Amino acid sequence: MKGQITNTIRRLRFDAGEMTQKDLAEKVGVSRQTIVAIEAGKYAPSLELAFQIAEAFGVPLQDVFHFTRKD
Amino acid sequence: MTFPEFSTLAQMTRALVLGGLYANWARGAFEAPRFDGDAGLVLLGQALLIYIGLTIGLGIVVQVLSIIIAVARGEESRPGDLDERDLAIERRATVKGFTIVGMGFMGMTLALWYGWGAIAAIHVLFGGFVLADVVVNLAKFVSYWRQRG
Repeated sequence: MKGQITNTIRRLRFDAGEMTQKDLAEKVGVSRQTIVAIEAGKYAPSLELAFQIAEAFGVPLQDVFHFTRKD
Repeated sequence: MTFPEFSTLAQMTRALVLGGLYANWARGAFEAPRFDGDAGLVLLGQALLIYIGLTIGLGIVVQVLSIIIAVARGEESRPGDLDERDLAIERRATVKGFTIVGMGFMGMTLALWYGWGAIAAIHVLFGGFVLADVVVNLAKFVSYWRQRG
């Protein structure tokens, strides 16, 4: 089963008082470039990092990352 | 640009320059009569040791210069700051490198089988290591480039 993982990190950052990518990166312990790559869908984070990102926004994981099946 | 990205660019440049120098020297080795026989093997051994020394030495110099430049520019990350993406990129590139080294070994055995001679076979084997050095750094650079925002 093939699929695509998308995310709403950019919107969540905006909703969280216009949090910068750098702020989010520091919160979850990665580089800003990693956050950039995740937002652009060019890098799929590990499960642990995904949970850390969701926790940084105070929302459930499924509110941050979405899996769309491709047939 | 993070330090790992900058360092990768610098090491890729180092690998391409040294790889090009080795390829040029090896091309001459197949043509020059002084590379035949036992004397040729001694010369080859000396040249390979010099190449290894240059790779290690230049690698250290490039890394130190990268650190100095990163600190001077106030880069966002510091040496040793490898996050999971950096490690994933490094792992994938290392797998490619090991594959190239394996191909070099197989190439060496095929060269011996076809009667190429010891010097040529050693060049094929070592060429695999040289190519792997280039491929690993190039693969890392391409991964970082593709994942840019």
